[in-house]
Amino acid sequence: MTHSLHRLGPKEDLQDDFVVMSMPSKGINDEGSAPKVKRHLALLNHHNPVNLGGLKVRNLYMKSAQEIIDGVPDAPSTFNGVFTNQGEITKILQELKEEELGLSVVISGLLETTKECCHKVGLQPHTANFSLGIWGKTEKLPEERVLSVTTMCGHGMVAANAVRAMVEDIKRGKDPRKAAEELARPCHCAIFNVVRAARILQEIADTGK
Amino acid sequence: MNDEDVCQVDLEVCVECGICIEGWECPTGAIYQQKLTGSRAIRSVFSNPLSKHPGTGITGRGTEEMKTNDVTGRFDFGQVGIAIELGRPSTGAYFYDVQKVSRAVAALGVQFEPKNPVTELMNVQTGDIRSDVLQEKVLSAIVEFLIPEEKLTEVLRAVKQVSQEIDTVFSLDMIARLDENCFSPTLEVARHEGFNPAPSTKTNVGLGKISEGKVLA
Repeated sequence: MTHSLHRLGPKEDLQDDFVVMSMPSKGINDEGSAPKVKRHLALLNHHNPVNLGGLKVRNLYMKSAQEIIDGVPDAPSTFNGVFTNQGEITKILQELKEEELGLSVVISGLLETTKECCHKVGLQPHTANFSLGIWGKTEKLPEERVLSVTTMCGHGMVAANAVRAMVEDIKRGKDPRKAAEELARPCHCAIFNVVRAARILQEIADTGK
Repeated sequence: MNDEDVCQVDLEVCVECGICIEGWECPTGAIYQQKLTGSRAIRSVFSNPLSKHPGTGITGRGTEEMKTNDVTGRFDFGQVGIAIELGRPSTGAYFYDVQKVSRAVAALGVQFEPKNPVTELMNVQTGDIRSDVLQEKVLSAIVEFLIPEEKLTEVLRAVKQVSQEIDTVFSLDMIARLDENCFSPTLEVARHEGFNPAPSTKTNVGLGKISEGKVLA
């Protein structure tokens, strides 16, 4: 599934939202891939991710980084880290290039920025998945800014009503970062960006929209 | 206690994603997973990312798609991958709506992705979905296929048309190889047809390698 695509929000709101994903491919390079994935996650963990993990190992808000890394199996699944800083993406790509782990690596984030980071370290982006928007009965969708939070879990595990409940808690004094971390727990793949979520939750609490 | 004092999960709209059990802790243990039997079992496969689909061999409801394209070569220059993710975001979809879309694109002779779990439920010539699951609701179901670039205009027009005939939403993905400037001519086609590609993408950076001794089929 394209679970890290379709993260909704204006361009300026996506400047601090990058997912770095690795994936062994079934029957091609998944056998014996666990040590490589562990190395990949350990490398990501050195760059202060705001989330880390994957479907098989869960996320930083359910387990420690070491438990996540130790739990990696040989499996054609995605393993992810979330970052808020373009500079870290460049450093990560440089290190991944030098390590030659052989895993496929995907960056989800602004294409302009991804291109810049890749070219700085001499990588040529191979393939892109473009989001062409949401179609159909869009009147059924939650409010736009609530969607900006829920779409950070592409599998839809973060419910719009949970976001609305957290906004009400923030209005009553809850720390927005704590609220964002609670919302991050159900996102099994560990691609929910708690920094961006906290900012949007506070914005909704302040403006009512 | 009267029935009206009891909260219950509405099983008609529940898509069996399992998150009420996996993601949050019920302090009294009142929420539990009932046994899923018959066609209802399919809800979990398409809604709970922890359910492993027997056909794709991976957890989640999709495929490797472009995530591993640098080693699979699934999408080459001149080809376009399209994924129509019904129910995403935050809405869910019944398979009768999935069928409206799969029929619309099947009529154009697209090549459905054989490893996709929706394709497994489908007659790939007609786009008809297995009749026993049509009334089942899932969190999302992805109609995924490959076309030659010259078919893109026709397909995008059909997708836009069928979007007006369904009772849910879909997120639309377009996969293409990139040139040295990170450009794909498919972007111009999409814009011409009234689609507005988002600034944020998923980009495979080309670091994958095929293990020694493995060859592509």
